[in-house]
Amino acid sequence: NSELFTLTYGALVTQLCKDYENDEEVNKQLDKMGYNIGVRLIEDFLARSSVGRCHDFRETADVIAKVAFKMYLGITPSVTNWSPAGDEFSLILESNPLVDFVELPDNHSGLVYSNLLCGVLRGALEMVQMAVDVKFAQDTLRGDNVTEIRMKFIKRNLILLLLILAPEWWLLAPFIAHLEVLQVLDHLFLVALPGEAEDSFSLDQESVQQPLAATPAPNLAVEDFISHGALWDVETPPSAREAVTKHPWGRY
Amino acid sequence: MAIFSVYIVNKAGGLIYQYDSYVPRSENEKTFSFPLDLVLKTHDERVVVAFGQRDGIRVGHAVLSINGVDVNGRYTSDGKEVIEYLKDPTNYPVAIRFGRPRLSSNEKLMLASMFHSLFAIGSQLSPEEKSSGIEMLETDTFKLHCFQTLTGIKFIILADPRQAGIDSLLRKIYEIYSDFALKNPFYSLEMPIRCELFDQNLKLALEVAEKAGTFGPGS
Repeated sequence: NSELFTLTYGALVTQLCKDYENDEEVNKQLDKMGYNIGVRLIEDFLARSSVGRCHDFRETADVIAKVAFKMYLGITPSVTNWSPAGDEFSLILESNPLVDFVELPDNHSGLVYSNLLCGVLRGALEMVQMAVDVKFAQDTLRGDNVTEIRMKFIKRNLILLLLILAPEWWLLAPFIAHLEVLQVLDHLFLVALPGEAEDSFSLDQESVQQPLAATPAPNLAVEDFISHGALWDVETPPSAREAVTKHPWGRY
Repeated sequence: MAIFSVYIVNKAGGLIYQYDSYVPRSENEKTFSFPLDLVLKTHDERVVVAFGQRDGIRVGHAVLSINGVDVNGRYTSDGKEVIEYLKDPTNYPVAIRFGRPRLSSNEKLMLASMFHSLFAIGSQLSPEEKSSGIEMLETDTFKLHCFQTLTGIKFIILADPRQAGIDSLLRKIYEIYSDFALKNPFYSLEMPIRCELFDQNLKLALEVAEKAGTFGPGS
């Protein structure tokens, strides 16, 4: 019975609206909450569904639409609108259990009611070493015919970025304190390819681990490897060029 | 009884959970009179037998208790220093219990981190791409089974070599983790797991596996 779920979500959103009084802020909070849900949900999903590692973004899209959505929301969205590069797609939801009885009032026209779902998808994929950008492209609550979630794969964007701007790497030399960094590029290429995701994991492990030093009391915050493996930032850079001139490799 | 212990290691290599279900410890208690014919020395904050193996007391065994009073490292619980105490003839005859020392929690942390690094090295050394990493480590007295999830958490089980069904047990523990640890909102990711329900369900799962396992189909 999904009534309680719909009611709970509704109560959550209305309370957030009262607390923050600003649609943008509420959207952000929903996304954060969704993120926290997503990082935990992924383990439950992997434990119960026994799907293996996806080797490309298309497989990921299929698994999300056919297995994950079915398992948790009981709906099967369709995967469409693939970008030519194969790094973006849309999930079209015919029905959305979260918004069963909801109408958006005029004073909340900027509110993305189901933004929690975006956070969930983003958090879950981040835990399997895939950085994605998720947003609602269409929303039935705001007058469109269908609800459309647009998902963009960020890691591959980074590769395209580097390939396109390859000749200009040497221009960046004065901005880079340690030129050995450019040697790391080989690793980056290998690592940033979606299919090589496991290698990125073990590579980062080596850079992070000092075997005998990992003894501090477990109650101290343990840095999680994703913060060290920052080959990408979760937020998409404003424009390709800007991103490259500012800090192309995050923390390298 | 055939599953010895369970370790859970997080993404960064830190041990977040450890459970010993059965520790086959060989212990011997004997009464000694002065002078002691075993040579004892201090090693790693413990008093261990260096020479004089006899009657089941082997080199490397640590002093576990003296006259029934437990020994902590180099001192008894009463605060007496063990080696000094045993040098004094007036304290004899004395009943000393020797046994294989238990691993302290710090040692377990270190060993888990080392395994984590070995695991990473293992997947790098693999001649084939996309290796799964170390799945099993076999010795004559135990088998270590390791399962790494797609998110980087490792579940490690040390069991009797004849124990079967460990693979499905590893998956079951993953499910129990995703239920009782992750769905607990007060549990933070990557931190040590201190959830009662998780402990209880894990023990249950281990019991079921032990009963079903030893003579079942190969794991």
